[in-house]
Parts: sequence; structure tokens; C-alpha cells
Amino acid sequence: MPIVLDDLTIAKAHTHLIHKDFSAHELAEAHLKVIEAKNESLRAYIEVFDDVLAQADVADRTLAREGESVPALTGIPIALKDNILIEGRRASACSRMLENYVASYDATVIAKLRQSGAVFLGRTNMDEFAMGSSTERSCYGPTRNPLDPTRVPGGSSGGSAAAVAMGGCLAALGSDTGGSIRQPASFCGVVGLKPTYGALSRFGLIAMGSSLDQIGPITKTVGDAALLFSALRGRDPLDSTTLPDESVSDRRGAASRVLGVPRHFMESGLDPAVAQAFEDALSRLRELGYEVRDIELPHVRYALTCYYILMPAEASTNLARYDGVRYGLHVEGENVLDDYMRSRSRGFGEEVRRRIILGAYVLSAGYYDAYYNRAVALRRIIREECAHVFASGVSVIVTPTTPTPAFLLGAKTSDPLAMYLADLFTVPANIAGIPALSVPMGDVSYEGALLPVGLQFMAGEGREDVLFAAGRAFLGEDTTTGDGLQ
Amino acid sequence: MCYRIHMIDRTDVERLAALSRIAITREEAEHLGEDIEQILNYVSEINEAGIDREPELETSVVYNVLREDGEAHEGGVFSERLLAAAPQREGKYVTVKNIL
Repeated sequence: MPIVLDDLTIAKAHTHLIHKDFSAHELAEAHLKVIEAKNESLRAYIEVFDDVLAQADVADRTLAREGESVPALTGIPIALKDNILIEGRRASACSRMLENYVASYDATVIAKLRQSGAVFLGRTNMDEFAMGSSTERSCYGPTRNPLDPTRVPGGSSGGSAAAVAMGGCLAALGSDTGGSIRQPASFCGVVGLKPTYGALSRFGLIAMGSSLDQIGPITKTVGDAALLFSALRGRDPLDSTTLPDESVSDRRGAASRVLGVPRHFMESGLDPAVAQAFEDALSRLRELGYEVRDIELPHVRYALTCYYILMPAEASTNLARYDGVRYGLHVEGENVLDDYMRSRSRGFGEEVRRRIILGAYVLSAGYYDAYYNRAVALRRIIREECAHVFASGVSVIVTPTTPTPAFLLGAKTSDPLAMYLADLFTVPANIAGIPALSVPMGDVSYEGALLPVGLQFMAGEGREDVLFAAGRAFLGEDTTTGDGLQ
Repeated sequence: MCYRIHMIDRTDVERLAALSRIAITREEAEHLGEDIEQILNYVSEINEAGIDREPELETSVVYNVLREDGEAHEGGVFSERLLAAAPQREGKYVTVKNIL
């Protein structure tokens, strides 16, 4: 049967594969054709793997052998962000520093996808070392938004979001430290999930901010995000920050249908068209039976400040390992110190250098107390305020995902602070360690273009189930296809 | 909004870059200083955040998780794969310049 990719989801593709409506080979081929047609101009992918069809053939053999009992991800074509390690393949975090680095092991999420028989299509473009909100900081050049190629796809997982939006994969993995899954999902009109901190293993993710990073799915539907989340989550002895498996099911229990809106937080910086779309979304949620309540999160407006102290501090430490000795770019100098200085300044782009130096500043003697320690204290306060809201009967906090839709390429590259402000609504979830889901809430008129923008749901730790229920209801998704989380 | 005198200047940036093992030119240091100053002005609002507890006594929500050493794998199993990534190697050694 001819494959129509537009409405095809993982769940539907799985059904078709089992019923032999088409093969994994044909499914992969259909996606490769889209990539061939669109990737040159959009640059969602920086590498398409040369063995995609061979991988698909393996999946077909598994399907032939095991039929209906195959995992839901068998034969499903997935794109991977360039900071997730796949053994034997290049992983560069879109940095010159790691341009030729070949991963010596699989990330845990990759090992799980392999076991499920997924097909890896290729690696997607990103801001260098995940530092950015537009994918303009990639050493390979920017990715363009498939909905409007004069605009950014968002970042840092812009390539992954663009790959999904352009029909170049059925789903993608990204990573989210301050909004890097949700913001591009918002800009590209797709679904993006940042799981609870510790829900998915970070083993094999090139680290940026270790207390903030999470890998997560970018998909066409909430159902697909739930499916991928189920397949990838779990305790991992190789990542001691992963949550024990019991902690997730413990908290299951009826969630209230009360949504909390922190209106005080949305007073400035929000584009009027986005504000209107948000009100329309709230009306829709009321019609679906949700109660909408105003809530107070007094310190959430400092989450971005907190983030831009903690994250550069952690990133400067995490990037200290790139010295051109054991791996990565080596530029010859006159002595060891000179080797390091030249390798690192040549290997790291401008934004990376900026954040490393900012991190060094906030950690240096005399400033440690003023910045870093205060940010640590603030983090705990923000976390407690969120927990307090969830304990008071609110099950979901709702905001727009981004203050505006996608901006034009080049619009913010000369103003780092303006770029950082795009993360205003997304960083609180990373700071508090709670899960957050972005779903498209409709197109808005912005700068003369009609562009998608996202609605963000945040829930308590371990309550991805609440996010999925709200997201599916909002998008009117058919809930009869199970996601393993009911 | 409190106005502060210059929070970071070119020499600060040069010192921090040196600590971070990153070579930068004088112009870059100047430019970076301006960018970072702007960012620091923004994040300095943390002083107005009304944090009502002693920062030094604060234990982070982030803490170390340790485990016992497990069974070590057989020596040499991964060596070649790891050494293959090193920019400069000699046999089973990663080479570096004399550090003394």
C-alpha cells in the first residue's frame, strides 16, 4: 500500500507493519525520499546513515519471525540528535571540537532503541554543545524551519524538531537542559517532552548541565511521545541520577482536572497573538472539563536567572574534559598549556566560549557566594513552590511554551541576552526537575507570517501520565491505542 | 534596579579565559566582557530575589550518588577502541608533551 507520511504515527505505522500493509524497508525508503528532497535546503540532518535500508531489512526479518509480538518500535525510523552516542558512529555535538569523534559506546537510550528494533535514520543538527535556542550555533550551519525557511526551527534540538516537522522521520530524540526540546517543538508545530529529571538515563548523552539535562522525544502526537517515553525510561546503573523504577508507579493515582496558570509570570514579554492563542487554548481546556485556576509561583520569574548561573557553571566544568589529548580536536602548540589553549579556542565556537567564561566567573573566588550559592538556594525555593502548587490540588501548570513563535534567522545572534529570554517559560521545569510537555496550540500571525506556537503543560515529578492525558485530550487524540501508561 | 560599576572588564575576561584554557585575542576579550557584563546585569537580579535562608548552609537538591566498585572487566578489552580516538598516540600510550 502506498505510504502517506503526513498523518502516520508510530502507533499507526506499527499496526501497518504487523498487518504487512507495507514493510520496514518501504517505510524507511519513504522517509529517505523526503530527506533527499528537503534536507539540502533545511539541513535538519547533518548525516544520514548509509545503512538505513539494511537496518530496516533486519527489522523486517524480526517482523516476519515474531509478527504481532514485536516491540512497537520495530522498524520505526527515528532521528537522533548529534549529542547522543551511537557506537561506531560519529557524534560531534555539532562542534569542531568533536567533528571526527567516533563514539566508543552506545548511549543507554540507543541500546534500548536497538533492542526494540528501531531504525536509526541519521544524526540531526543542533546548537554547538546544546548551547543555543535557534540551531544557528552549529558548526555545520543553521537548520531552517520547515514551516517557514526564513526562520529558525528553535534550539538546541532544532534539527530533530525540523526532521519531524518536515516528515523526515516518524520521531526524533532531542535533549533539553533549558527548553531545548520544547522550544523547537513549539516553533516547528510538533510535540516535545522533557521527562522528569532522572526518568531517562543520561549515559551516552554529551553532557552540558548535568543537573538539568534530559533526553526526550519529539513526535507528531502525544501518543507517540508516551510510547517512546515508556520504551526509554528506567533505572540505569550506568547513570546514578536515574530514578528507581518504583518511584514512578508509586505516584500514580487519580489526578485532579485542575490546571494552574501563573498569570503574574506571563505579564511581560509575551507576544499578543501568543497570549490570545493561550486564552483560546484555556477555553478549549475548560470545554474538555478542566478547571482553570490562577496560581502563584513567586520565585519562578527568577528561574531564568538561576539557570544562567547554574548552567554555565556546570557546562564550564563539563567542557573542561575537551583538551585534545584523549579525543577531539588537537591543535599543536609550543607546550602542553599552549596545546590546550589553541585546541580549545579553535574547537569551541563563540557561544560556547562565552558560556564557559561566564561559568568560570560565577564559580570564581569572591563571586561563588554571590552567584552560584544563591542560585542553588533559589533552585530549591522554585522546586518547593512548584511542589506546593501540585500538593494544593492543581495537577498541571499551563503556560505558553515560548513568548513568541519562530523568529527570523539572524534576528537574535548579535544579542545573547535576547536569545536567552526565549527560554523564559521553559527553564522552570529544568530548574525544578519536573516533566513538561509542549503541544501545538494553533497557528498565530507574527511578523506577517502564520506560524505554530506551543502550549506547555508541567506536572509533578514522575507524573508524565498527567501530561499525556492533558495533551491527548487537548489535541483530540484517539486514546484507544495503548501507550503502556494507562 | 541597582546600578553597579563595571562588573567585568577585559583583564577579568583574559584571566578567566586563561583559567578555562581558552586563548582569546584582546578584541575578543573586550567584546566578551561587554556580553558577559550584560548577562551579569541580568542575573544580578538574584540579589533581589528575597532568598530567606543562608546560602552557605544550603544543601543542594543535587547530591552525589555513589556505589561500590563492581567486577572490573578484563584488561585491554576496550583499549584499542579508546586509543583510536586519541589525536596522538604511540602504541598503547596516548602521547602528550613534557609537562615539567
